[in-house]
Amino acid sequence: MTPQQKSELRWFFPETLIYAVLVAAYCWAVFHFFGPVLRKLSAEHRLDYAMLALALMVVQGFLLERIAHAIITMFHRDKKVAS
Amino acid sequence: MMFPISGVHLNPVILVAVGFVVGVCGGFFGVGGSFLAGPALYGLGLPLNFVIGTDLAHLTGKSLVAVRRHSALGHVDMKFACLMMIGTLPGVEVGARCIQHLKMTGQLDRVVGPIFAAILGLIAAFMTVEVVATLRAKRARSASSGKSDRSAFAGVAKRVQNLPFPPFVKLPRSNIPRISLWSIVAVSFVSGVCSGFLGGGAGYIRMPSMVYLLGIPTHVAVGTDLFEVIVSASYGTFTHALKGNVDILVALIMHTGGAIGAEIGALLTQYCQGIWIRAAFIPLPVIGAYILLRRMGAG
Repeated sequence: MTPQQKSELRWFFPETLIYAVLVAAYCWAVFHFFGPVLRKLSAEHRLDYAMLALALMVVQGFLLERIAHAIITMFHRDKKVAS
Repeated sequence: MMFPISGVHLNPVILVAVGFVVGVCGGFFGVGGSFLAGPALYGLGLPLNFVIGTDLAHLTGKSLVAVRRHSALGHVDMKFACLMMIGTLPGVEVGARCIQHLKMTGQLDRVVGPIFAAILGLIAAFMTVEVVATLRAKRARSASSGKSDRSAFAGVAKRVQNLPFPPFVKLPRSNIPRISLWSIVAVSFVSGVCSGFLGGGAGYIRMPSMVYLLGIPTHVAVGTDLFEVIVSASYGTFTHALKGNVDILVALIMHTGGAIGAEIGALLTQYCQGIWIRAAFIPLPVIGAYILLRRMGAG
């Protein structure tokens, strides 16, 4: 294993953990706050529902991952500065 | 737990677990994994129309995560992915029209099922022969070089790359100095037809085709195939949501496991040589064929 791979692996697990927490919280929030709205849209306004469904998936798949990555990068940088 | 959009009770823990397994497979092999997620959702009690749409929505999110990770590892050839689109999109349309034609003549079940099972069986058999031959050749050389990605059938890809039909393109990320655009379009068109004809993303056909016919390194084929899955699954999600076939709440819960699985699967490719990824891929088409034959047997 190369030193770069070792370093990547070291930061992979905390990043994945943060991402898992963010994804779970996001899922809970959508279910509780937007559940009834989504149900209404799926029955009455399909175009809005289709666009919202895609947007919700992109936020969960892309944005939250970027946030988790940004948090871990910030922490990594702080640790480097401190040492 | 009650899901208000599809109106069914589903266990969220099982949904997360299914998402995780499909995520690991998708991230590692570069396939959508609908042949695993679809039967699982159907078995849990989700109506069939929601199974198709919801699975596509979940694939979109999972593939986004996996492509991000593969892209960071340098496993996505964007130029190649865009060129593949030229053949994939018309191919999907042709495949879908074939299905419509067979539906009208009442031959759908009799034709599609056996063809699909035969294709999957042939892919598994071919890959087994290739992997065994490559491992034998490797042992004979008795020198493995880190992440080398040799194939016993590399000659086939070389011949395809040497086809003299202009225009030619260069794919530096995939280590291909020159290849006819028509070869790429032909391979992507055939995989597109399979996708439209047989359903799902057809990654089980596209990924081996990229490796064996075009000579794309296995790691790049995995990442680039996932990019194709994003495009086709996004389109599928949108169009199925318009028809009321997507329960986005089920998809989001599945994606909770799928996202983590996709991250892990994509990372694992970094620690595996191409030959081992191809070897581990072999059971996938066999599982797909088994599920299909069982469903046909059930009526």
